[in-house]
Amino acid sequence: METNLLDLAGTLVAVVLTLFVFSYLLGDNVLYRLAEHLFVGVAVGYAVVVAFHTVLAGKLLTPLSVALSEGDSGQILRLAIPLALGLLLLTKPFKTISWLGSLSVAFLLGVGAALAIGGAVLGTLLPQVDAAADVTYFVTRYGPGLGLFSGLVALAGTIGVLLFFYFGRGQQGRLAGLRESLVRVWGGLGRWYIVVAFGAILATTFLSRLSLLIGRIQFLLDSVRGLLVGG
Amino acid sequence: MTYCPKCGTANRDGSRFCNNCGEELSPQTHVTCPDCGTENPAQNLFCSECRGRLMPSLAPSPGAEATPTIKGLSLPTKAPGDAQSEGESPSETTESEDSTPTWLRELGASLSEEGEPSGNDPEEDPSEIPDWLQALRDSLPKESESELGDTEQDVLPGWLSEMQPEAAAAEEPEPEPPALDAEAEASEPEPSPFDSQALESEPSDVEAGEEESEPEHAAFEAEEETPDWLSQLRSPPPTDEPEHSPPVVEALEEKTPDWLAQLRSSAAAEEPESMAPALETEENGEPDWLTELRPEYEPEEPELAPIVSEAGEEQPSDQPAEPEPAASEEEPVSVEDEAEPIPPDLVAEEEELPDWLAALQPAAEEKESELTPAALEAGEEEPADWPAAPEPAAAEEELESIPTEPEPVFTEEEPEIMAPEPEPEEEELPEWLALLGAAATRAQPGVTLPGDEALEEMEMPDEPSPFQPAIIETEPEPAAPMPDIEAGEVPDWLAEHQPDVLEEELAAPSPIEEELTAVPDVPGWLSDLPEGTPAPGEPTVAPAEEADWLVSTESDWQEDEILTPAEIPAWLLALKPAELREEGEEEDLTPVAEELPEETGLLAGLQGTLPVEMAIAQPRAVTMAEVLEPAIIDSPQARLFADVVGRSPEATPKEIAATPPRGLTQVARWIIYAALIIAVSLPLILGTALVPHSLEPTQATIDMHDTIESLGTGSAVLVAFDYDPATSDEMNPLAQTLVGHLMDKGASVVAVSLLPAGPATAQAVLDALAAERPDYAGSYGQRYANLGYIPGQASAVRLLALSLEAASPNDFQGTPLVELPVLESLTSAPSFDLIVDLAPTQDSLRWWIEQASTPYDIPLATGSSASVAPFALPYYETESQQLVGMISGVPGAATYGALVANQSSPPEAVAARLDALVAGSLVMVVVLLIGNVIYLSQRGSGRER
Repeated sequence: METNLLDLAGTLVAVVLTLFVFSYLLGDNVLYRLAEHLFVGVAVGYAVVVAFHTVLAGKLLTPLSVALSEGDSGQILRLAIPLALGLLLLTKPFKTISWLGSLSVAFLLGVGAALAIGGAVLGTLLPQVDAAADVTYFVTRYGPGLGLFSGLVALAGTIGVLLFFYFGRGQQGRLAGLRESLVRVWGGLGRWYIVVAFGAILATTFLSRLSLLIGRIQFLLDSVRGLLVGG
Repeated sequence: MTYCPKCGTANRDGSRFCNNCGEELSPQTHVTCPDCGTENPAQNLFCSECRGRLMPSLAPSPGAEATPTIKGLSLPTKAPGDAQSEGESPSETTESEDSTPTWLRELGASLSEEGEPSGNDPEEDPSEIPDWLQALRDSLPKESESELGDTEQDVLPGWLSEMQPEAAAAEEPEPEPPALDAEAEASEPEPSPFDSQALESEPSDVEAGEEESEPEHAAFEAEEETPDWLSQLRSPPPTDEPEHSPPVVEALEEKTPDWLAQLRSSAAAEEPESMAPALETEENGEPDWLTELRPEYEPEEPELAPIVSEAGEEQPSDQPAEPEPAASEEEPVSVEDEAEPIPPDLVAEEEELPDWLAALQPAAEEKESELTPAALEAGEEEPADWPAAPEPAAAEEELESIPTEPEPVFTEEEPEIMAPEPEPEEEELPEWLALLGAAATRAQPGVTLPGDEALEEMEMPDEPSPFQPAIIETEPEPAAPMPDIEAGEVPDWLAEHQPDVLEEELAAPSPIEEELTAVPDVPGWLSDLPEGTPAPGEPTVAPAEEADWLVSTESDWQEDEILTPAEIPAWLLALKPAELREEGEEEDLTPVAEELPEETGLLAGLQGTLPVEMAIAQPRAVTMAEVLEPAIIDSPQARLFADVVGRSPEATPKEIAATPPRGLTQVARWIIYAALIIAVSLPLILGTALVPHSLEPTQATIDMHDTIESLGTGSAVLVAFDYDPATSDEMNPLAQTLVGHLMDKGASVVAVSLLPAGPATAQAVLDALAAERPDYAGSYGQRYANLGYIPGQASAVRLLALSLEAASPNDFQGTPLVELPVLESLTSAPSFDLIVDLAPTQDSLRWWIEQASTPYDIPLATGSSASVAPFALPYYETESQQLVGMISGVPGAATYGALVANQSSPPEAVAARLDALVAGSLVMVVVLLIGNVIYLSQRGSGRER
């Protein structure tokens, strides 16, 4: 019974806060601001708690204490390095010693950049270039007609978009005119590809957000229905 | 450089007003030659047609030009009154000469009566006086003053004349500057050795100062080192004009021999207000051969007198006491007059000059016609040296404070100035003396003088230059080199008279003369000195050039052994660099090296202060900037710019379109919100499908389904719940559909999240789905698990691909992973049979694709938000199928649910949401249509307007 009351209270709070947020449709108001601040505060507080328990306590402090109690020097050394890097990050707010935190920042940025660049090249760029250029794949997958058409559309669209983003000044030479015409026509076609892509993204984003609205309305209706049925 | 027409101050090009007097400086593009009337560019110094001096026409007051104002700091500067007095017009200068010879004649008369003035001096040391000077002194009583004066002016080295303008600048008396000038010029004294030394020191100092950026030193130095007789010579009676005695004279006075002092005193008694002492001293220093020549010119005095006066103007350097030598030397008009026939009025005026003074010069000009231009140029160029002279105002102040001892500042700094110069050999003239001599030659008459720029840019010759005869003779220890100079380099008018004297002198050579003749090396600059004068347009001349007449005279003296070495005055020795001094010298110079505090300016009271940069006061070569005439607007851009600039601002403001009333806009907005909410809520309220749904799964959905269907019992699937409650309304249906399908297939489900709030959402979904399935109910850790939040985003994915325990040693509830049976055989991401990423954003999907799926070849499927579908589809369309399957949004979840249920229609609950989604989409389509219609209608009406 107590659980139901807590659930009911939680539901009521959720309903009220949801209505507060929807009140923004009428304009900026205190209720919306209240809900917004509550949401941000709760989200940040929850994230901090989770981060502390999951990261600091779960991955550093607890293992370090265990290692210290057990005298595992190897483990202590392995944990001391991230501990030191983490402590150096705390020097960032202080201008005189903020340079000490640069090592940690450099480590973070270095690892992050290496992973991002390597993953982008191997995981996105090369496979996508291969997929766009290999028309036969589409033929194999979708048949001769549709596959060829799809493959050509994908190839033409990819090149057209790339040409659309080709910025250069006027060139000289025999092929200068042809090149400029190609860039202008094919790049114009790529521009339409971009327009269609942005339209698709907008439509899917609208569907996504509309789904969220539906979920909130569904929650409200279910809550009201539950309150009424439960009451 | 633009010269003020009023005061002659050198102003920067382009200046509109004079920096000194505020006079408006009218730009000139052309200068008319005063001689021939030829139009010359403003930059020209000399006429391109007749080589006449042009600059004076731009600077009507050459006297002021000769002593330009020293700008900067607070060191002595020229008083306006002095500047004006210096800047007298040429005519004034000429007139002033009329009154000069009076005292000169009287002095000459007194000298003849007194006999040998130098011989009466008991304190005089005959050994310190050169022979030629001694001879000159001896000849004084026998000759008239006019002869002496005449001869002196011709013989007197022009380098001495540099001191004259300086002295004039210092002494420039405010009440009667022209008279003083004339007196000084007319009474141009003979070049006594000490006189020469004293005067010589100043140009050399100027040079050194310029090179060492301590020009002001030179001025002060000259002041301090000037012998007493010179200072007295220049200074008028204290009662009349005490402030007019220049500091140079003060300094010179201290070193004046006694016999000169007596000579001066006697003359001063006779003519207290005149500069008679100068004549006295010069007479004493006149070479014998010159004195002997005087009678020859006596009959010619009436005719030659005017020219002599002009020569006196050009060669006033001998006369440091000249009140205003600068005017005579720098006056362009006077220079022009020299080149032109003598005006009648000048003849009358110059008849008052001493006869002997007028004797030599006319003959010289007649016989040395080619020398006349040089002399003219010398007179023109001499002003360049005058800027180095101390300013009158400063000089007056200095005179009041100058002690009997010479200023020690220069003695200390001079060695530094001269230090860079190479040390001369023992038998050669010391280089530091050569430096002085080189500077002194600039003022020599008959030689083109270097301009002011030449002073600055001067490169001292490597060879030691023989100094002036007086200095050489007075050189105490080293044998002064007397270079041999061919007689051809001597001006004719001098050469004709010189041999007579030389022959006589040869009969009795002195010991020191033998030393002089023994000097083997003749400086190259002296021997190679070209005869003639440089181009008239050149304002500057190499500093090492020596006047022909001087070189020849010196060489003749040396050859004939007529010069007697004398001791170098202490003030001159003080200039000797320390490294060149011998042991005995330093002791003698010690007392000279006393520093006196600065007397004037901001640095008053400080010792050892560096003098003001004399280069500032050096008037540079006149380079008149061409005045830019207004450009003609001949380009469209220029016309447009001028039109825009000249256009008056528009008074009528631009009309702003009236904004629609806020109420209507707000109402329209509310209407849209209400329509959308009603359209979405109605299907949900009804709970039934309003429209029949015929869901046709896409190939991606089918692939997803087939992939999961292919998973056997006991397979492990890593599900990434990368969403949080903010997007759970959209993502939960996907998660429930996919995870439910996995559980239905008996796969072990391990959840992770890259968001802090993700694990809680995942745990709720897992628990709910597990509760619905008996095999999974209460089997946390055995059939499913939640590893919780993995920080690091992309690196977290890569870490998961490497090691689950490294990524998350504990699960969401803090249980160590080793205690979870479901993870017994699962150590890393590649251990799973499938990875399903529930991605509300494209970032998390990309991380999984790039860091785990592609590198480790792990099958990856995604249930993404509808907004991520455009970004996820390309990964699915790759040949390697980086995404083995995908579903997106609520439609994807509904379709997948129907596919799993093997039904053509979705479940009822999902169908209601689909109806709400369709209804909401329809409302938005209608709103978009209406909005576009209104926009197009307004746009059309806007075009009409």
